Amino acid sequence: MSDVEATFDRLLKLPGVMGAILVNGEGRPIRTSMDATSSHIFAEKMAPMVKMARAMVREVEPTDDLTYLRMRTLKSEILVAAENEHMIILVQDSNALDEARRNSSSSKRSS
Amino acid sequence: MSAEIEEILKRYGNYPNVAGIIIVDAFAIPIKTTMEYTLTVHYAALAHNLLMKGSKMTQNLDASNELTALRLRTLNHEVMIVPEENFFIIVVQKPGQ
Repeated sequence: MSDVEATFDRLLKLPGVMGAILVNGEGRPIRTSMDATSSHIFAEKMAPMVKMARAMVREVEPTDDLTYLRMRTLKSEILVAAENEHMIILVQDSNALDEARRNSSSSKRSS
Repeated sequence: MSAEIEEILKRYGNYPNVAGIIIVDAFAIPIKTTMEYTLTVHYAALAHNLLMKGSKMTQNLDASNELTALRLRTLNHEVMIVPEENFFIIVVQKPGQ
């Protein structure tokens, strides 16, 4: 269980994180950094998306499977990692994320 | 519009590991593709559904927000779906190290 906690805490340290939610197989948030209502709303909305995305992947190639889904909007980026029945939903601010990516790519170039 | 599309194809075609690029119009009909036909139609229909659901969901959560891109990572590929004004682009990559 502490493994999950450690991973969760690590996620929260990423740039621009607005919230992280760990959702169990029944669609209930079991660990979250956001308030309960938002967590429930996110969990509820993302579950059908993940199901659809997974079905899409399987249909195109039956041996393949979804590892994660990233939805980018104007304001935020929602990353959903799905494994077995659980989901981790990570909501990050788009601008902060882009900034971090730009910085990391420029530092890679200079090194 | 076709000049724009050609430019897109050229731009993404130069990226490493691109397995295919599909341009799909607003009715989920593929108008340009670098992949084989049945697979293209398959991807187009599925991506269209996912995109519709995704944008509806985004608008539901926040009416002023809108979906700009969708990225699916699977065990063997990475599929990027980007909606534009009158069409959408699907790029399938085989991530290699």
